[in-house]
Amino acid sequence: MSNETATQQLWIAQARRVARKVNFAWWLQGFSAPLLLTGLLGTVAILLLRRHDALRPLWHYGSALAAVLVIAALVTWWLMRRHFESPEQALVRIEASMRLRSALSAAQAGVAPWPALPAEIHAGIGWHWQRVVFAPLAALLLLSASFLIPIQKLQANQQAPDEPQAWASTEAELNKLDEEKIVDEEYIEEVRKKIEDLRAEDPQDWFSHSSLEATDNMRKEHKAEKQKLERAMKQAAKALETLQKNPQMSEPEKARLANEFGQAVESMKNGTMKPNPGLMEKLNGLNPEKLGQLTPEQMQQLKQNMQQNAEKLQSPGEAEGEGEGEDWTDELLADGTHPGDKPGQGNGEGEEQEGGDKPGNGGVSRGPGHDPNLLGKASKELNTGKDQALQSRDLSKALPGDLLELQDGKHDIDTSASKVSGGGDVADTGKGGDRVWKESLDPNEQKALKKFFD
Amino acid sequence: MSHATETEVADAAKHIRSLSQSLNQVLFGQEELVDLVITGVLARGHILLEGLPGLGKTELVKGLSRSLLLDTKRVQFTPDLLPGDITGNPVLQEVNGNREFVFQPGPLFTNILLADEINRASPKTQSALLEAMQERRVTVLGKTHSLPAPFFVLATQNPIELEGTYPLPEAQLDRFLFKLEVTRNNVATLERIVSQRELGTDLAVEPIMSIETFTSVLDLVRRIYLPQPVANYIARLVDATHPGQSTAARGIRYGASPRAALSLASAAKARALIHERPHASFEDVRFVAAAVLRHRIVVEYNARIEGLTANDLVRSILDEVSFQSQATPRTMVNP
Repeated sequence: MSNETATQQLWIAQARRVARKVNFAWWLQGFSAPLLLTGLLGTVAILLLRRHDALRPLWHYGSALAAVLVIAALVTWWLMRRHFESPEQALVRIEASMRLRSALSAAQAGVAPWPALPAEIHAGIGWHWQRVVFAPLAALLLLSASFLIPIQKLQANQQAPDEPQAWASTEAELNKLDEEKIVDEEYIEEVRKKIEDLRAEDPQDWFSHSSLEATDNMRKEHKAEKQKLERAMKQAAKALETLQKNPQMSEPEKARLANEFGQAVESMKNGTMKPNPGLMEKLNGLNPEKLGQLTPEQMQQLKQNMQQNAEKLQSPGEAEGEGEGEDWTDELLADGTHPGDKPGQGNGEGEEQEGGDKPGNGGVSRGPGHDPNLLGKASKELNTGKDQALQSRDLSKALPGDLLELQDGKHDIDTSASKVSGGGDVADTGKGGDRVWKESLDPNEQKALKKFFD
Repeated sequence: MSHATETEVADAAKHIRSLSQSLNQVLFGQEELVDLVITGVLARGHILLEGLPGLGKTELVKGLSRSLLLDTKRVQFTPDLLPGDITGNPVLQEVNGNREFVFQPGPLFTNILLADEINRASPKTQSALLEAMQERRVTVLGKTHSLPAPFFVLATQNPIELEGTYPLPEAQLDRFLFKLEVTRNNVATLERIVSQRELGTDLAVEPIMSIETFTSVLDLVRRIYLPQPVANYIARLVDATHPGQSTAARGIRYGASPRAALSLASAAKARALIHERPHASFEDVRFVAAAVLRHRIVVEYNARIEGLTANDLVRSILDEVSFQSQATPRTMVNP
């Protein structure tokens, strides 16, 4: 091997080394983004797994990460290879850096001999360490952080929020009614369906305004239907009881009782909540006008049936007589009277009664429904002070009249005599090059021109 | 065409060195100018010399012609100079008993034409130079006459007297290989001129090479090898002079032409020969870049107002365009 060939091979070897270094730098540059992205996605994945308490052995993560990185590295190599340098291009880098005056390119072309190999060969490039280590370091830190960041584990069987109490209580009532066969099942199913519809909503919305309002509405309707049925049953039972106690009563009285019974039965039929089908069938087969034809036993059984059902319909609190609202009609019925037939029993004289500052006792001519001094004694001194009109300073909201004012004064009129005066000449647009200064250039350009010729 | 060998280059370089020494004896203290003039002549280019009167431009041209044993003519350009005054005119003469038009060659028919104050001539006369400079021939009354080889135009123009001048058109400027600025001399040089020269005396210049030798040297320049990376560098340099192609080109309205790239390549080869190398290099291109490009780019109006000159812009482009075409990755740095 001649010296020339040896020198050539040494130069080519150096060029290959430089090319490899540059190409690796290109690959590193391209790999930074996938590396960071992998680190970021890996971090998120590990955090999610930790949150769901599904951590696996560390080698699982290591192999998954390695697989992803290998694929990313290959894709990066494929994408970045268009930037890669050939040894010939590296030779140019070397000769440019070492100021060899294109001797290597000429030697490569066979025009000049290969220059002697110097002691030190440099291509004028070095590593930019900050950029080289940034991506790997950041990915490593991210992955480490994913294992170290404290995170609350997600409960596997995380319970949905408790449902509104009203649903459970209504369902309990419905179950009770269903068990005791007091009311028609169709009604029970209908209410249950409403509750299921509400329950089918997103648990997060169970306590929303609309859901609570619907629940409240359903509950009130249910209560009202129940009370309505209860009252009708009680009314029917009372009529039967009165009829049973006074078999010798006059015919008009009997007719009135039969009418009451009939109204009660009609109310039961028309209500949304109907009695159980057995009772309903019995009532349907009964002619109110022929109540007197019933045997005492039949009447007794029917009355007991009604009373029992009515009692069962009562809520525990209501059964003890704490109810209120529309029960006043029951009270009247209990007295065996009818509203309007007799004067009210109330003795309330209101404020005219001695010690009239007490609450009235009710009745047709009852006094005020509340204690006059319920909220304490009314003060006579209100200390309202002097009334003063407020004036708005916000003129944007002022009405047209608010801004008008009258003023004494005179208009400012120029009283000097008018005369014809010269209008002045139009500015001279200049001639020749002067015209450019006056018309064609904007202020910035004029400034630049002045500066140039100064 | 075979590339120049080291022996051929060494022989030619010996002559060129002598020529350089000779011209440096004519013009004191202008080594770089002399170097560039020789480079321009070896590259077969026309040269535009810009400088104040009395700086030795004419002496340099005269010295060059005497050293190379070339014919020289000098034309003082004036506004009333007509194209025929420089190309020559057909004159009615009696030839063999017949009266016919005989072409009388003008001062263009020479080896070196010194066109003094070229910007004083009318555009019509200036345009007559166009064909001569590019094609190295003139056409009069439909008849084409070739100019002697070699043919060079060394023109001068005065940068301060603008009254009554006709600035050279871009097309004509592009035909000059170099535009060289002749600067004033320093005190030491002036002292040397004063002590060694006499006013009104002609310099005795020894001939350096015959016209045949000079022609062979010119041929050798063409055979100087231009490596592909250097050619690529020239292409990128010229491309960078166009607006939008480089940061520096923001101050340029019109960039250099492909003729500029050819001129750069030719000048780089000539310089390589001067430096006794059979191949051109990046450094050769850098050295001649300003002389080749400065008159071929049109500086943007705003850049002129900011005080930027064509020289500044060429310098910026040279700093911006790297030797190697391959970019360096961001993970690496040039220490």
